[in-house]
Amino acid sequence: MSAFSNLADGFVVSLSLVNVAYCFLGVLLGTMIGVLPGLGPITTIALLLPLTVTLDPTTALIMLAGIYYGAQYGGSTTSILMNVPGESSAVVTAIDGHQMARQGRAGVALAVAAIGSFVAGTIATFFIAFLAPPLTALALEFGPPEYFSLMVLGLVSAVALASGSMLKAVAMLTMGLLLGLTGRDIYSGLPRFTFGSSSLLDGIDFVALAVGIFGLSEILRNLENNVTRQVLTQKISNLMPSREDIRRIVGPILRGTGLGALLGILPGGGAVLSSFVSYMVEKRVSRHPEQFSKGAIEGVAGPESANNAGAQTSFIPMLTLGIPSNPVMALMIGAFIMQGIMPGPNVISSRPELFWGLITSMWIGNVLLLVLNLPLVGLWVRLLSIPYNIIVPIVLVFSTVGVYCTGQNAFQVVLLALFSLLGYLFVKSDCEPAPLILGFILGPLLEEHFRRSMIVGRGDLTIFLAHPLSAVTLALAIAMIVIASLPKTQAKREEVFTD
Amino acid sequence: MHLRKDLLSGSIFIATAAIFGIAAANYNLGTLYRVGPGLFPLILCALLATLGLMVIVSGLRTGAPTTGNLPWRAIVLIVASPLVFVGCMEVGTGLVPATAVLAFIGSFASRAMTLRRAALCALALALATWLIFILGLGVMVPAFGPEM
Repeated sequence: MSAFSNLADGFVVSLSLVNVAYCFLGVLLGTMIGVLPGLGPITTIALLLPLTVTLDPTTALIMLAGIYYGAQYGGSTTSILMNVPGESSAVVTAIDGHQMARQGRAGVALAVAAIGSFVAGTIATFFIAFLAPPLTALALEFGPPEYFSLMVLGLVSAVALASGSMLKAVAMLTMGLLLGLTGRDIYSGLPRFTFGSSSLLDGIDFVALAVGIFGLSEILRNLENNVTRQVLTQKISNLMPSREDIRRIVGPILRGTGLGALLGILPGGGAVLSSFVSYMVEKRVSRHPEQFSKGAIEGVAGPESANNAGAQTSFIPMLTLGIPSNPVMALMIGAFIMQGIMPGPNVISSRPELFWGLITSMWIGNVLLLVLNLPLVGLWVRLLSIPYNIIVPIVLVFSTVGVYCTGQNAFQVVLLALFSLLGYLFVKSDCEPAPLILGFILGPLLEEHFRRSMIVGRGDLTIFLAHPLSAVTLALAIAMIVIASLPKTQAKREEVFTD
Repeated sequence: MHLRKDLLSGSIFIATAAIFGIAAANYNLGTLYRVGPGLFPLILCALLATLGLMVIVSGLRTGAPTTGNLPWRAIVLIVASPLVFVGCMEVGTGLVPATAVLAFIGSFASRAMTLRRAALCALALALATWLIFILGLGVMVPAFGPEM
């Protein structure tokens, strides 16, 4: 079957009334919550995850994907209008986007972000459709050693690309791996780390962990100081970019899309890395680099396209290999597992309607974003002026009731409380929570593939080197550690993340 | 109360490693050929404890900064209110009253909250929860009163 007929089949699924409706709902809710300052895509997805549990798996995942790019676009809106990026991939957009807003060009900045995201989303959808089947075919050849090594590479890159102290990132990752092992051991049936509680036999509820670490702890962080937020509330008029603007954004959008599509596939890549790299590239190729950080339209168009393309292609390793390349994909894998589907190379053949339906829904989601956002800009601006003391109980109620209702298990709510405290203490001590959630999802997978490899290799550790692909992957992981710990790279990291 | 950042995170890592490590000590390690349920956890616990120690040592050496003033009132209320919610559900108030209590208590996490506003929030959110979770999603939780 060719990519086109696959896409056609996918559109049959994703264009069904129910799926379009939930895609729309996802994009709408995602944008609404993503717009709220301090609530990025990870928090938004974690908060809304309970809403999808009762849906059919395909519909649930379509809605979650919609929430993801909705939240991402909402984050861009916040950073353009308020200079408070809701999430790290919008940090770059804030630089020039907010300057444009101050020059009275907020409407154009928002429109360019939407157009760039749409173009990038469209190209990325086709990119996935062409790349996913051959990658899946390749992945079917992988044995346990290959999977183990790929996961090690994924974990290493997540740590190498995390901001802040690498030591703390490794510790967070290890803690996540350990927490992930809670529950019944699949080989021996032995309950591990349940401390005598039957509520923990199925492990720590993923929603409780994610909502606690990302949602409630974020609320606490925002409650620290009564910052008065400055919103540019002047009426947003003139959304249309001028002809000159359009001429200037074509190049950045296409370059951003290309960069994002490629970087999104890499382990540890995705939206954040893509937008940073795109900004640096645009600044370098521009004939007027001095305009950057003073409201250059290229500085909005490039990174916004790149982060959307990257967000979408980061689905590729998740869908074909079942390996999350970033925390958002870890959440997606959690959602798959909650729906009773183990993501991996088998999904494409066993659940083609889900696979292609999800991919084509990404394009539909991007159309909806474009249609939704430009007319609704006024509404988003008003959302920004909701006082924070109202947002607190809303998020609190949704987190708690959501966790209670997904598991209907009172103990998981106790865990939620514990994790929100822990998550907050981690943020306060400069430990980024993202590696923890990645470790939590990968912990059981990593262990399983290790144990299987040992069975295949009859207890010989050199099996990881005997399989060529596994050996190459491990070598890459080691190279990454070496590069990341070089003093020169360390200095560069600080420069990039503080810029 | 100010807490030293590296001491705080390092101790959390070490405490977790200790709690999990003590439990994991009873699990069978197995052999490399037949890896038991204890091997992986034990390696991770040892690694986490080492990393926690390294975080503390590097903190002591560089004299890392403190966390600054922690918003204790917010921390206590945000952490306690889900527990109160669980308490209500266990007692058998049903979802709607439990949500109202949760929202009411949680509202006071921010200082600029009035009694009237908190009560309004509680009512509105209890209604929203009923609409979304019970009517919309059909979750099998009683709205009022104990579980059948």
